[in-house]
Amino acid sequence: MVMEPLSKRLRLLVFLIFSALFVFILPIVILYASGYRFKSGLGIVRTGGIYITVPYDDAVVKIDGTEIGISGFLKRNFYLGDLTPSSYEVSVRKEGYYTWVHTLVVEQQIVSDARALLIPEEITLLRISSGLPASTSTRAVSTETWRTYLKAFESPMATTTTPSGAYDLAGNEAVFVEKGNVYVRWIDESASPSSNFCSRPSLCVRQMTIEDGRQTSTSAAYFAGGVVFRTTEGGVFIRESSVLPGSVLAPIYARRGADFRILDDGLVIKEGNNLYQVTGL
Amino acid sequence: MVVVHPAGLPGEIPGKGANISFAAEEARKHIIDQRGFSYDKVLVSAFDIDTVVYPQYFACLAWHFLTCERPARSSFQPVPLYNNNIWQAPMLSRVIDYSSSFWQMIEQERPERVVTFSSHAVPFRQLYEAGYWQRNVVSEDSRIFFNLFVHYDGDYEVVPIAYPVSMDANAAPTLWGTAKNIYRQHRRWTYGAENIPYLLFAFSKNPRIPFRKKLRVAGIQIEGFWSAVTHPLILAVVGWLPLFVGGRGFNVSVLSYNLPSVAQTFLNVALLGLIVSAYVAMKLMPERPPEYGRMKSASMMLQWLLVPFTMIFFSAIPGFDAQMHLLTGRYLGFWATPKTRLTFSKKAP
Repeated sequence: MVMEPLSKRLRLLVFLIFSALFVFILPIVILYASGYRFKSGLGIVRTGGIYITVPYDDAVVKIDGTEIGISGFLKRNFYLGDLTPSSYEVSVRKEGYYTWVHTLVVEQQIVSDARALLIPEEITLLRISSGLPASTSTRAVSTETWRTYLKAFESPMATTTTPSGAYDLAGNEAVFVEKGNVYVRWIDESASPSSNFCSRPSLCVRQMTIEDGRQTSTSAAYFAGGVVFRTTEGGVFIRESSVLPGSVLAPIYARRGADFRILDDGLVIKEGNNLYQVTGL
Repeated sequence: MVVVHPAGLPGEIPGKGANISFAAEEARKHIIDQRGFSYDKVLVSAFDIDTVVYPQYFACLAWHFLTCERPARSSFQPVPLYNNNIWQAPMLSRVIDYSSSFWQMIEQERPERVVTFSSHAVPFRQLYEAGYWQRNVVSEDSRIFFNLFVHYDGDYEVVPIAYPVSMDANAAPTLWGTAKNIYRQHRRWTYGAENIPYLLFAFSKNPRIPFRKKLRVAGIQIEGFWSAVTHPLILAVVGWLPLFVGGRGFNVSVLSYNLPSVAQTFLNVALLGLIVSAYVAMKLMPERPPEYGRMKSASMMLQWLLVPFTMIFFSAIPGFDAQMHLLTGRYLGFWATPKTRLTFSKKAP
């Protein structure tokens, strides 16, 4: 049997069928991908979504009380689309940690995103000792390290050189301590602020307050996904860098006169002549 | 008749084109003319060194030559398979070579797009009048079609004969060596873009070729070499590149979050084609030699998972490489693909 190429008529027919499929499917796909959904009773709705980053293992993520997943080594991000524009309560719960709960506003065709910050209910402190064996409550360091740590507390906490006056940088945002208060500012004038500066996708600010109460803040730095700051009266605290109402604020070492430094990628507290390593954050 | 082609003849680059042109002229002088054969009744098969014909190949070719509408204006193109050593060739080589075969099979269904490739056949008179294969190009196999197309004012075509010939799959002693050979071989193939300036120049000098025909032939060539390089890359990045270049305005949109999954869905549907490819390839393969077990057959199916990778690294990138050589005037010579037969070492009982 001789094999002939497909006839031109058949090829034309195949071409027309696939062209028709393309013309028919393409607008549907574009509308679908852009968030258009049919909702019973509402008709065609331009939906939005929520995207939560959970940098912890074994945390349960819920939106309006409905579990959407449990975080793990390979599952750090959760996306829930097809959401009618409205407010949604998002919670991230993990045993032994304060539950992270925020109300996110979903707008049309926009994804509201947030990064969960889980603070341990009981922050563990290891006393840093020199020349003693390590135990469950102490961390042994060499004499040289001990001296280096102590020396770090002798001078004021270093501020980065740019932007002027910033205590610490994290991408395009920086933390400032001014007149005893702590602020976080979006420092890239050419770019829109990231979502933690937005109370809703269409309402963003370029500065947020971390602490502006009666206490006098003296230093601040980014650590463990939040901002750690020290007040003269109250000690050392951590706060979520977010303008969302109810952002997490927790004491790390609530003693007058306590100070902190970030040394060797760890948070070290000093009170008197004692040094403590904060673990679990 | 065995012909030895002397090196260094003027106007030649070392390669298949110069070799077979020399051989064809020698055959004309010493066989065709001496025996008084009519040029119109001689058909020339130009094979690669590793081409093996199946039993009915010449019968099939002769049938097409004798029955096609315009034998004096037609070249004949079989389907190149790479079956000679397919069971010995590494997985990488198998999937790439079968992809090439499939592409040729697809082209056979669109005769107006077919140009001669690798092993092919040409009527001798037309070959003689066109001056044989061009001696100073890398892609003499496709160039001979365009030579004839221009020589006969656009009145020339390729007849797909839908019958295979078999050649060697790339198989160097090491996997790395095989990968390098495949890369170079595909760079040579995609260096066929050198035909585009030839065509455009020849078309500009030949007003007897209908403009629509010029437009169609040049368009097919330009689109073909452009898409061979760009489409695999576009398919590879379409799902996520917008996230990197879209800026925050795009990145917070529902579209940006849905785009990867939508692209993934379409690509997954397209992957169904790989299942068909795997099935067809198994049907085209020679029988499994007794020294290979069922696992080898399974690997023949699984190899198709490599296609997204091979399309980029052994199609798009060598194509881009070849076209950059042309663009920057760093012209390539003919690189002969080393053909190595890997033998299966079977322990003596």
